[in-house]
Amino acid sequence: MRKQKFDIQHNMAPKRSADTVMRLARMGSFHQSRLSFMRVLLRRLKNEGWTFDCPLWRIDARGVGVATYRAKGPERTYTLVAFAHDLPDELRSDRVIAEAWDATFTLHDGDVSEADIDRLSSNVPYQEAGRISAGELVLSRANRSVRLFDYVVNSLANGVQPDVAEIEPVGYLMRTTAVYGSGKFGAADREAWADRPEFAGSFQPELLSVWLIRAFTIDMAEHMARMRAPNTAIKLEPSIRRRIGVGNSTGLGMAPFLINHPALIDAWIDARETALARVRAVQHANPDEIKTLTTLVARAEINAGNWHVEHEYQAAKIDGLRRDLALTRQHLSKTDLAADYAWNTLYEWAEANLDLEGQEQIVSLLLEPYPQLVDPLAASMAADEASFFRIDGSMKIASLRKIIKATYAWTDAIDFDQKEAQARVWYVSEEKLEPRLGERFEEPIADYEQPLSPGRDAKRAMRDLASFDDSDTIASFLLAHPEHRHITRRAQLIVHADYGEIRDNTIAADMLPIDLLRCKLSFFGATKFDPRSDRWLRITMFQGAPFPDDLADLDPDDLVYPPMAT
Amino acid sequence: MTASWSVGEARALAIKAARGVGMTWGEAEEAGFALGWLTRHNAPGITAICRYLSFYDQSVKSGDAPLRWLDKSAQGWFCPIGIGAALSDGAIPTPQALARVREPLLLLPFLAKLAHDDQAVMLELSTEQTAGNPMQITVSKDGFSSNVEAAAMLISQANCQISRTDLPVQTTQSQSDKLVRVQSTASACISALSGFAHNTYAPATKESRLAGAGAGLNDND
Repeated sequence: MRKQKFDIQHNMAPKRSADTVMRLARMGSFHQSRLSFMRVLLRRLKNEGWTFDCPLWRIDARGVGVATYRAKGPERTYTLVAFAHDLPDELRSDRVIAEAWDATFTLHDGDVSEADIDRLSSNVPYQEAGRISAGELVLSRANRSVRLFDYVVNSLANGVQPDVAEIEPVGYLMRTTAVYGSGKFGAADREAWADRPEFAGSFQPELLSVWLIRAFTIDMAEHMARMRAPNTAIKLEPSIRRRIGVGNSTGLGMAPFLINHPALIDAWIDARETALARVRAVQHANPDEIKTLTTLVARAEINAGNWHVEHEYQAAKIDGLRRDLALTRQHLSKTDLAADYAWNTLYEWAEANLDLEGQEQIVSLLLEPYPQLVDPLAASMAADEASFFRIDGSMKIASLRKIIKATYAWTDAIDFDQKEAQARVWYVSEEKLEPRLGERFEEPIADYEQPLSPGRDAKRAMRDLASFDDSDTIASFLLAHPEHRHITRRAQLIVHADYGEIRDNTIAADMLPIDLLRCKLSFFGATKFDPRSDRWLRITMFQGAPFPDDLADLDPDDLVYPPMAT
Repeated sequence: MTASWSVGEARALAIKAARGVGMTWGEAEEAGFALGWLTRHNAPGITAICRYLSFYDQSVKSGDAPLRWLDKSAQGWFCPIGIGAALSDGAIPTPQALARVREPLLLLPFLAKLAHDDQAVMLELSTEQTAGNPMQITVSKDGFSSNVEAAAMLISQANCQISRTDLPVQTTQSQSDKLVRVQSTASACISALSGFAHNTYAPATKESRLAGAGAGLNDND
């Protein structure tokens, strides 16, 4: 029977609390879902009947030149301009600091002219050292997976299809090492296109670029095979081709994002938690919905089986996930899923019996049978951050104290005077101009600290608030303590964004940055999360997804988990 | 085609630059806000920020820090960012007279926050040159009285009288975000701000090169 008091009016179970969800260990266990931005993108492109072509392919036998990929929607056209380079092996580095790449890209707003290509050709190949314009939305680059790229080219040149068993462990021919949007390096400001319906949600221009880049990587491999052996070369068979995604190598540059954008993170997490609450409130699952869920549990098991990493932390988590999914399969086989509120019961069972990896996998799987309950939430996964900027100086000190006590209660257990509680410093390195994580007591970096420790900062503000009366205003507090302006602004925002704050110490000695990265990347829709240390990792994007030339014929949502063995 | 900058990247740079000359992070965010607001209102926000931070940097380095509000000293100067933020917080009541505010154009974004639908804010700037005939700028919620930004930009320091006014005025409207850019003419300012921003970057050490980004397994496959 129902154990919880459901919100009958909105047909929702209670949402999980921020204290439950916003913990690093749990956030570091999130999986992609129907609400992930890659899936949102492909659903929209398909539903709106976007068409795609490759108006320009000017690439020579060495694989050097330019190509364009055009996406035409109901209102607008976008063009990916891809520059292919001949990169010596010794210059191939995934680090953001590299200065040369196998391929560089920009997403142009509209059809691209030869004059545009000319202008872009003297900027895009240089990435951060060049400038793009208000006519571009994204700047990106990618390197080959040397091993897989050469293998696939050789196979195709010899007239044979590559072996899927060789493809799966890598999963991509090229991996992007940065995908810049939102006004960076001269690109159009986010505000310039944020109201376009095709970009509702988050990171849609960036992911449109990556999806088109994926098509380019295949075309490059087929081109190189054709150049090498024009008489014997063949094209990739579609089902094999689909197992090739785009890799991404990412590091600490991405980690501060989750802390720097609390309103946006709240919107993301809230959409997912709302979706879960809606599904848990479903009283009777129909046979189709039950079949979808049980089949996907089996496919998720195959997916977990294909997920191989070297890093001990993640390897142990994957072992746990495999165990959890097997346990879930057994549990489902002896459970009546036609019973009242079976999904809520399943979620509660998962919470009691599975690890965080398994629990969060179940959350993602539970959303799958319910597009009508879940998919509309995708449009809410954005935030007007500027609207939260202004500080309400008239707020009374009593209210600020109350907010801090409620949101930062978890800091009560932390003594920030202890070294291990503030062992880390987030800083930007002069050499790389990228966020880094250093050791406060071992390196001379404390003076360069970025404001990425809200828990500690809230506690410091509370200490100084002690000398103010409840009836004093925030305005008077900030006049005396301008150093608390940042955390005060944040605290006032958090009142409206319950899921906006991570309830863990982001400068603790044992904090794992990859947990932050995993959370963000799961919302992108990444799979095969592969930490290479505790602070950088590789992922695969769009593996299994349709390509531009078969999107119209395939259901992108059905292709995320690997197919059942036939 | 010459390069231009998005407002977002100019704002992010201004925040780093303001922090780089010694403002707190919260104040630095206000500097970024001011740049964005002025740029959207077709005023030379980047020039004003650049000129102010250059002054701030020099002054603070030579021990001449901005005055705090209520400081009755006859010497010294007020920071338009700190004063602007305190005005918009309501910590400083209006009407208000403030002597020697640096770069008063930078006050406008904060005064706009004080304005209501039916009430504007009047900023009167007096300098030695304007004796007896102060320059008046009316600031509404959405903008400020037009054709003053060029003249205001020439004023690096002024005595400021701030008051509420019910006068309905024609003010510049915020430009559509789609069109606003920081133009290529600002490249000298971008360089100067980049220099200040540089102060926020930690010099690399051998240890940090290895550990900071988590080098470990080979990244070529």
